[in-house]
Amino acid sequence: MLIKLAIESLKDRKESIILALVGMTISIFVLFGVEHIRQQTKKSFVNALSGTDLIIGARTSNINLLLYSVFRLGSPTNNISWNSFKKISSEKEIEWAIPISLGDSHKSFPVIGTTINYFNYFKYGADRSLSLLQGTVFDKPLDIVIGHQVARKLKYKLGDKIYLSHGLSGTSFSLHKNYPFKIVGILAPTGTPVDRTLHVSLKGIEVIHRNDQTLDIKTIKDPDQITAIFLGLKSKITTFRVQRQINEIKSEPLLAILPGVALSELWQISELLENSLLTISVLVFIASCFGVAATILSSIRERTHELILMRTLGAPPTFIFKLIAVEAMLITTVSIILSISLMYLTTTAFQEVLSINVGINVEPYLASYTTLRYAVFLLGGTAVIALIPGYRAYSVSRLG
Amino acid sequence: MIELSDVVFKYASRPDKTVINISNWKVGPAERVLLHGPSGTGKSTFLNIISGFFVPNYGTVNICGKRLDKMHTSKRDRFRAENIGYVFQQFNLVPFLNAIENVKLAMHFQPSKNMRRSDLDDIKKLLQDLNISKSEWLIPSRKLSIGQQQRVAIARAIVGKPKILIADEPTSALDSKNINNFMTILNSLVTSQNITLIYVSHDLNLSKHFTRIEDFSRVNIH
Repeated sequence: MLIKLAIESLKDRKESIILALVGMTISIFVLFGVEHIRQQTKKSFVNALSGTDLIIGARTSNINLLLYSVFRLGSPTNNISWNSFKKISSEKEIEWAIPISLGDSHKSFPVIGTTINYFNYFKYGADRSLSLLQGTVFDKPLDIVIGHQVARKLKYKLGDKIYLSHGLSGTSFSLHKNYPFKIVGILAPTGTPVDRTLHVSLKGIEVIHRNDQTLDIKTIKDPDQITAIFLGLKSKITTFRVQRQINEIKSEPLLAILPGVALSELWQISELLENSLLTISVLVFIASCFGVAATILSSIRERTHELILMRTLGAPPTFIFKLIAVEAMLITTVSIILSISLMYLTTTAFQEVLSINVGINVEPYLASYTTLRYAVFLLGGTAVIALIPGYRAYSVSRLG
Repeated sequence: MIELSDVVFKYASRPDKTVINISNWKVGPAERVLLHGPSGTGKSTFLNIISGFFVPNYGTVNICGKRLDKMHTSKRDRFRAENIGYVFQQFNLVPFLNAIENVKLAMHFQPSKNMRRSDLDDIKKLLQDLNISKSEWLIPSRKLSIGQQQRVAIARAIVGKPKILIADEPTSALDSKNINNFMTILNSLVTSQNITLIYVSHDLNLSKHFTRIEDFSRVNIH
């Protein structure tokens, strides 16, 4: 009876209640949105790399090296010489080494030059290897293997010829028209930056950079310089020793980082931002709670007779109090349900846009244990704020 | 049925002013009492005392053999729900509920009389007895005429089979035709169910419907 009465009472004041409901829904939507993006960003970052013990690049900050080598964000400060790569990869502690060369692009998608090791040893998520959806890995200098999203977005298929440009901008002027690359493989989706990347051999990168019409593709050599190296060690125990050895190489200033450590440094920075966003969204929610309280409070004056009548019928003052609280809780409950639906719709609709433009793989929002925890918090918050109109109604009905 | 002795009541906000001072006043079972008297003589306060909203500063209030002045608030609420029906001058119904829901709401607060399936039939019969046509049962009560609202209010007040029905100028907003209609129905229901009726009105023309007429200014010597 209490809930039915509360529903009927809310329906009776549709106009003002709908406005309060919209405000509340938006605020909860923002809260869920911030939380979801936060989780998804973390997940995206954590999933992007697995099994790599050390990342090596030119001397810069840990985070910068991590960002440009794994996430293709930012730009490298300098290159590493091919000699250093050969020296490091031949050390006895090293199980495998993947050289990568960055700095080129195709229609805003990054192009990396690497070796066959990339397809054999690069891992993401929970130790998952890359797999091909179609075709094979590259073999010749002008072969190219493209990420899943590149294929989808640009509607490329095996055998298509494409041109790469030097530089990362989508409108780069230095398009290497002389040497079209042929798509030989399309990778299966990974939900990581790999999906947005085009992969060529290091020789392929040389072709782009030399941009020489007289170039003989067959005689082209490995490049002199690369951008970074992913290393896998035979034994994890040697990680710190190898890291120190690399950092101390005299011939070239290098930086070796542990991806996990660099990632946690990144979290420390992003946590500040995340927490500010979360605080703001909690404040927005509290503001809309007060909005709901104000809406209900202002209705109490016109409902005085109704409340006194219920008391006359024998309703205890606590019933009146509960009625008001339930009304507020109903608004929040409906808002939570609407926000979840809205989140699902928007994340589904914008999944691809976010993935392509921001590089973050945002999964469609589904109610989870976290949502439940938030729902409890939101309803709790509403209950506390509902004390204000609840008490007002209580005292109005008590006086008779 | 109702017995007040040496009752004194003052509002907490005006402790110097005695509003109610009744040395002894009794009403027997199934009596139909018309209380009349000028405004400002404390009639509404008096009704609030016998219905257990207000507790007097002194004296005893005995309703159906129970000392209301000794009861705890929550117990008084329950006692009121089970024993006293109340019809106001206006605002008798929750405006957004329909007639049936309003009557059901009254039953909800009577813990010992849990809603049964047959109760809905009782409600419908009662509404029929009160000349509320079927088409008016399911529309929000604010859309009913004042006359219809007051009749639904009787249904709401007596559905729990109270021992006492208190009516505070329930006909003052009605025209003479509706007043007669209202009084006739009220009387027949009250008589058939042996309910004690306390009825407040300025209108002495209603006297013929009552077994006892009381001038409130003689009951309340303040």
